[in-house]
Amino acid sequence: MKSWLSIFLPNDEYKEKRVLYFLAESAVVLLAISFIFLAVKRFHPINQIHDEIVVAALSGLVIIYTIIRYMVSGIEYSNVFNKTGYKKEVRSIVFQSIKFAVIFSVIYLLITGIPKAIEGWVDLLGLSFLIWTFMFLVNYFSLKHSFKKNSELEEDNKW
Amino acid sequence: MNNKVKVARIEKNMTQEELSKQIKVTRQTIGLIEKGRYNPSLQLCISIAKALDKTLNELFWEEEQH
Repeated sequence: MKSWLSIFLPNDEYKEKRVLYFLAESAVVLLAISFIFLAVKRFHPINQIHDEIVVAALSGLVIIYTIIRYMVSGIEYSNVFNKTGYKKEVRSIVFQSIKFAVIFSVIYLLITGIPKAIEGWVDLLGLSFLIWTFMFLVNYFSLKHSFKKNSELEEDNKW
Repeated sequence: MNNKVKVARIEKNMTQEELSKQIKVTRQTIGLIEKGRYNPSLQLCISIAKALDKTLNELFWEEEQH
């Protein structure tokens, strides 16, 4: 089946199918919340909420929903079946998260400029640490779920 | 869906990893197919049958229960 969406989808058939389901679910959730929002706005005008905030919140909802479903489904690390592979992936997640936090810090510095006071550096370090923690936790939970799912399949294999 | 992929793979002395690499899917997908927790597309069924030197009938056709 040809679709422009294919370039964003995994090559593995099972993964592709699951991701399509997650995206479809998030679209339905988005539609439902949009209708609820419109209904609420019609009967109780909420003029103080800017359109930009609404669009950002709804887009964020779709992204977060899809990421959480993907993470919990245990399909991301589909080739990690033993402790050695698991430990290797944990190390990789730590380094990938550091890399992401460093790239974020550089982009942050390019946009905001070099901080002149020590508080600016503290803010940057704190933010980078938060980004690192978030990236690490998201990937670690995904790995945990994948490893659990793979271990179940592995246990069934031992007969 | 019940199938005989696991038996055919073991008969051919192949690991899940080897089969998954040959047909370009993840090992998890092979595990799920063997366990009957995922129904593969016809295209993937054909790839599995070719890799294991079996026919679709031999791997995926359900025999009648008497």
